[in-house]
Formats: sequence, C-alpha cells, structure tokens
Amino acid sequence: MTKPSLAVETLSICSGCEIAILDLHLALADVLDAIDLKYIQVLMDHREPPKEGVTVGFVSGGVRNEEHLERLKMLRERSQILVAFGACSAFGGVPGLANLHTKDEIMEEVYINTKSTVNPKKIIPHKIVPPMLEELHPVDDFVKVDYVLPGCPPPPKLIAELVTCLLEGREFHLEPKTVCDQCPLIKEEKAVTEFKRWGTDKVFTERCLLEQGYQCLGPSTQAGCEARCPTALSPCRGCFGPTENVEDQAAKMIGALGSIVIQDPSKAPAPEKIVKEVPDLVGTYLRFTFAHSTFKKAVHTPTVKTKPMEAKT
Amino acid sequence: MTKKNWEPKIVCFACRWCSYAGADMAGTSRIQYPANARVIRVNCSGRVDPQFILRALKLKADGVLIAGCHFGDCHYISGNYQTSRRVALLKEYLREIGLEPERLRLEWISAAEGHKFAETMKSFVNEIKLLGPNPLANGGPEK
Repeated sequence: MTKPSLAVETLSICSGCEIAILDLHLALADVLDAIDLKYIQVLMDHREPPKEGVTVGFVSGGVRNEEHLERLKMLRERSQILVAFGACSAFGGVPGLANLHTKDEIMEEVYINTKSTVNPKKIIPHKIVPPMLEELHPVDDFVKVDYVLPGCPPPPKLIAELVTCLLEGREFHLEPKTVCDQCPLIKEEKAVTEFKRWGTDKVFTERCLLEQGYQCLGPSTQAGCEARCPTALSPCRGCFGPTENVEDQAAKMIGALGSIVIQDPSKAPAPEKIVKEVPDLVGTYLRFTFAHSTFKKAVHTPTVKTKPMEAKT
Repeated sequence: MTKKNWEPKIVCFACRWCSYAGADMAGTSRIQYPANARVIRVNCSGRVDPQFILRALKLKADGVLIAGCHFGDCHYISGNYQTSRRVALLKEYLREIGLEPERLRLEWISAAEGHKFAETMKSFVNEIKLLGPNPLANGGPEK
C-alpha cells in the first residue's frame, strides 16, 4: 500500500505554521513514517505540488495576490482533502487587518510615505511582481475547505490529532467550546469594576484575567489550544477564531463585555470609559479574524475615511 | 431607487416591557411619525446580540435603533445597563471600520412615552436622511 501523501502550500504568511509541524518533536518521526511529504517549501526545493496529486493538502496563509490565488486553486485541484492550516488561511489572520485600508493606501504608505523610503519618482512596483488583490481573503472565499485547523500557530498536539484522524479515515472536529471552558484559571464572580490595559497594573495569578479587568478573548474564542495563553498568564488573543456558527468574534466579545461588569450601577464603569480602554477595537477583538468577520473589510466611501489610529491616553 | 424618493430603512429593536408598549401608545394616541422603521419586539434590550446589529447594517439597513427601558426600570434588572455598554463599544467598532456611528442609536422609552417614541423616530429619520443611504447599499453613497 502506498503511503498517503502530503503537500503544504505557503501563501501570505510568516511560515510559523510550517515550523509548528516541526514542533511535533518526537511525534514527527512517527508522522514522517506514516506519510509521504511531497511538497513543503520551507523544507524542500520544489516549485509546485506534484502533478499526480496528493492525498492531503495543507494550505497556510491568506490570499493576498494573484499568484496566491493561482497556487491555492492548483493545490485544491491536486489534493483530495484540503485543510486550512492556521489562523491566516482560516480567517485571514493578522495580515487581514490590512483590510482596514484600500490597496492604494497600503501601496502608497509602503512605497512612498514611510520615512525610511527614498522614492523620489514615486514608483509603485507593478511589473514582474504579481498584482495584489483589492483585499486579503481567507482561503474559503475561493475554494472548498474540508477541514479547518486554526491557531497561530496550530498547537502540535492538534496537528498530530488531525494527521492521525486523516490517516485512520476519521472525521476531525474541534470541540464546540470556548477557551474559557479549557482555562484552568479560577473563575468566581463576574463583577468587573474597572477595565485595564494589559501591562498597566499587577496581575493576580490563578484568577480569571477577564474578572481582573483585562481584555482576554477567551469567551469569544474557539477552544482547542488548551488555553495556552491564559495558562501562562497572558490574555487570550483569539487566534482560534470564533466558535461554530458565530460570524463575528468582536460581536461576541462585545456581548460578553457588556455582561461581566458589576450589576450595581453606582460601581460600574461608564460606557465611555470602557470604550477608552479599548484603543484599537478591531485590532484587539478581530486581531486574527477581521477578514472573516461580518464586514470583512472597512467600508470605504469617498466621504467617510477610516481615521488613522490615534493613541488615547 | 432614485436619489429623490429614497427613504431610509430603519431596523428598530424595541423592548417588550417598555418601548414596544411605548410604540403601542404612540399608535393608540394617533401620534403621527415616519413609517421608516421595521420594529422588532425583543424581550429586553439586553437580548439584542451585537451580531444582530452588525448583520442589519451589513444587509444594508440605513439605521438601527435600539429602544429599552429607562435605567432602573428594566424588567430583568440590568439588561439595559448591559446594552448601554455594548452600544458604546459597537459605535467604536463602526467608526473604526468606516461606518458612521450615528447609524446606531440607543434610546430609553418607557411604556407611557408614546410621544417620545414618535419624536425619536422623527429625529432619527431626519438624521439618517442627512447621512444618506448605507454606503454598503448598491451604487455606493449618493449625496
């Protein structure tokens, strides 16, 4: 029996997800015994996935330019099962926040306005390089995705589980739970009197970060990571994306934030004060999922322009 | 629809205990107010999931009005306090993605305030008319 084959395609991404495959450590030896790694750019010198096709294709990274789109479609054609691997391919990831600006704004900022750039003729590259799409897309905007493994990067334990499931022909599912369900920190009474920005005050160990007033995205984030950030006493940033059937992670977080404040109105912080503690709302609540949220991109109109982010004190 | 006869479409979430009764009051008192709102009865203004509001705007509603009980009157004690916090954050969300935060409005209307319901409708419709159609609607903004 021939071994099942695997191809990993890298699109608009930092390549951290590929490194996460190597983080399997000893389990990697078993995985490499069981599967035939046909194509992975960070390890091998191949230009494209094999023409004869592969059993499983992992795609990491969002679709930012036309080359990405072409390579994504090629991988879809050549693989029987396609897995959106990592937050970027599943939801757009951090690069998805670029959708707050138009393509022209980004080009102008990068090639003309940045202080370290010397470009007197104001040339924006357009030859040889693949043309950029208007906005960044998660892969499911273009092709059918069979499995989604989110995370930034996906935890090695889940990668091993996914690979095992695929080898044994089982379905792979993430538990329909939130990060809070897996979080070991002690949750007592939801009665926040003050929201604080991370790093501005002391942190009590063993106590829920949200109850301490820090913006932890646990309640709006899909479980699977075993709450690795809150366990290390760092607020969850939401890299697993929204839970099943939720369209917008920020909506869920805003919903949760409204109800964890103390009931006594005389002790509760004013709504304006809460807003002040979230200086970059889209970048905080939709850090990994803006390209997959309700609006997917900023609403650009000639009259209303997204204001540049102002630092609030 | 042409520029001339464009009428704003407003989605209004009215709390069952106060504002919906307030809207009833406006009706039974025969107070005239613009018919631009599609009123949706909810059990409490705190029942309005932020997702409902975002989806209404995404589906090209020109404005969203949330009407609930006055502070202290909430049938569920703290529902309207929760809404006030959510709406403040949602307005910031809308501002950051480039939609006018004025398209979302929160008003406290009690069951006895039929007059206030009508006045709110009038002023909100006027405000939306000044803002123009939802920029996501076909053809983009026309002003």
